[in-house]
Amino acid sequence: MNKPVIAGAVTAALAAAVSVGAADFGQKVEALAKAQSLSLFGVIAPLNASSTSNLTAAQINADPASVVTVASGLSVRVVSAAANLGGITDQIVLYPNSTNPTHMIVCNEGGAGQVAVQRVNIATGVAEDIISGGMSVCDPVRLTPWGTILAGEENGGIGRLFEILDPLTTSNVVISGSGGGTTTTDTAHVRYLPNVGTLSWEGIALLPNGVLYMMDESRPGNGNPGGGVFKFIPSALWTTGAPAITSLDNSPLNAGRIFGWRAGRNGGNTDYGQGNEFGRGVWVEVTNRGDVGSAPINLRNAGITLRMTSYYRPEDASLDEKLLSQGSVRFCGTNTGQDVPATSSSGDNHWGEVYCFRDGTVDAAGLISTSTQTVGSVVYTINNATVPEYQPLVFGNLDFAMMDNIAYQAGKGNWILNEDGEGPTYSSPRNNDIWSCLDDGADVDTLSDGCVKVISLNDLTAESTGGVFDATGRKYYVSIQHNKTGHGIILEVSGWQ
Amino acid sequence: MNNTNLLRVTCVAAMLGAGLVPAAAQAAAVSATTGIFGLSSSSNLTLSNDFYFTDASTPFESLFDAGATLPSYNLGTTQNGNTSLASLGPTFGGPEPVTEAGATNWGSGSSTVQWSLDWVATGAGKAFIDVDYFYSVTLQSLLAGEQALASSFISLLRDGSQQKSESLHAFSNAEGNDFDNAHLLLNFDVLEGDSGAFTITMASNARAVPEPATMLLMGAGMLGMGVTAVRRRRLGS
Repeated sequence: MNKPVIAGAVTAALAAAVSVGAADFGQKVEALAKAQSLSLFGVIAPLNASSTSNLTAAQINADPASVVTVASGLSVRVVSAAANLGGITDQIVLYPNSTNPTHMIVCNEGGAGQVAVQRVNIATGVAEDIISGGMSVCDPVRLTPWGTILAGEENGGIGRLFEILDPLTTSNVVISGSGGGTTTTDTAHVRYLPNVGTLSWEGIALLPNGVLYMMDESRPGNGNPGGGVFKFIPSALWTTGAPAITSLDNSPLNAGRIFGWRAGRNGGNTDYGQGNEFGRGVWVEVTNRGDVGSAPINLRNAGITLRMTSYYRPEDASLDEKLLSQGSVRFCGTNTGQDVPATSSSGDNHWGEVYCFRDGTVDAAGLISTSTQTVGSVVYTINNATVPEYQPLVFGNLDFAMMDNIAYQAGKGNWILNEDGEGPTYSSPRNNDIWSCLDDGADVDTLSDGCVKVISLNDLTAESTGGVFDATGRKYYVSIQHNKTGHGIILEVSGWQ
Repeated sequence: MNNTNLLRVTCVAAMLGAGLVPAAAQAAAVSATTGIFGLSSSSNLTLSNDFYFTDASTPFESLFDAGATLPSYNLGTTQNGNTSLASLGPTFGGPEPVTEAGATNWGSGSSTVQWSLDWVATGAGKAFIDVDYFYSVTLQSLLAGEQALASSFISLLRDGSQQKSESLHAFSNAEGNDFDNAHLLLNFDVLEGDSGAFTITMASNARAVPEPATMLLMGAGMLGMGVTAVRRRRLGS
């Protein structure tokens, strides 16, 4: 029998094939990502499913590391489970740097009567209060290039941003007042920054020159848009390598100009509005209209007035450190969306998304070069120094829902994402997970090349927040907030290959 | 420093060099996976009577089973930077198995599934069975001179004697990553009423193998520690 006859016979038999079971192409891609998890994600094997464990407070107190299940190859060390560690510990920043950190500075997402900012000794776990009260819902915390700490309030359109000098020696500061009348008991070391505006602080991306990207954690409602993306350009940009400031009077964030993101460049920058949320756009200055107001500007209201682009609950953001080292601006963030609580038939099935935002080079991002655009009777001021671009990276699903925090993993270049979904309320409850996602590769799309589950909680009441890597990308620090113990738990997860 | 302390320091240094005492340096990380995406056959064959022999082993645990249902094993430990993983189970909620093994440093793991099915020909002519499988092996974080093993294996036999195809991937002393999605396709002629059995064997193994020099260094360290202990007892008495 010659070859063409063999081919014909096999084809005929294949056409009549009986399949015992078969994975579709998407399942194959998922399986191959798991099978290669060591090289792609740095773990021996990822988790196949979310944990359904629901430990008691006593069990967690006996072994705080047991509050998570980790992928094979990873190890857990308890950094702190101190009784005075905030019970809603959220974002974390390593101090004095991520290369040789001795401490972490953490936000506690509580009310004005609760501790807001603490320092935690990484070696001993001892927690001490920096801002002991007066902040409402402290969520983001960042280290500035000039050596200070930023801490923001996730508090509607009136959330404030504070700057802290000498965080290892500043203690028990209390915030009082509101809006422009905000003051602190130690103004030399903790100060309100009114000129960056107010919004619900969570996502922050701070460039080495002091340019500040700010995301408003807001959901759409009653026809109003969700949260927007804003940018503060300091009047005096920071010079990389300059010595740390010794007075908050010298903070680059004391003065500058604010711009808001508006998707759409087609037709002379006119095709903005609902329906255009991806792709390229422009920066529109926030203070060029009388109805926008003066400092401290409510950026949420300004975004509505100025027809800014909005998203469903923009939360955390993290810089792409690889591109940053090459002088380019790219940060990725989360839009949390709304999952489907099993207790409600009216859930959105909007499982959230991860996006990445580009804004030219670091140098260009600090420039201002304006022109005006008149639409009807309204005059907008456009900053043409860069061409900002927003593109999706990950779309959520029922198993990977409502991603909240995000961390860039140095070395691997992956994105670690913390779920804050409704899994614990599903008819078969599952815990929230932490995922590792590849960045977009050389393929033609702009989306992540794959994600796997690397950590799962063992407490159906808890949420993981504030994950951050050290400079090597091999140690990941994460908070397990509102766990059953009533106090905070911060873990160090190592073993990433 | 007295002689006893000098000897103790030397021994610890030797054992650090051998990797017995956790040190800052990373060492081998190894993983292997073999799985089946799907199994299909020509329409003139009926398949039945699935039977599984399964085994998963690490230095700490071992599980073995035989039966009509594929079990799920997940043996895994991580202590002092040493990971040992051996797991197996069904893929995608179906009957198709997957085996996984992984290790870091001094860990090791292996898992094996032997899946047999009876076949009966319901019509004469050409028949086939097609196993859509995937495998992956990875070695990374090797120290200079360090050796490690990761292997994935799958084979398909008809009636216990005709080995139509197999696949084996392994590395020994170089970092690498390989994966594939391929098919084991077996064609044969049948008459109506013919019968037999297919056997699909798949295995994954992962192990970091100490290099000979490391073993000598470790042996020297342990010998030294023994001598130290003897000297201390003598001094104590």
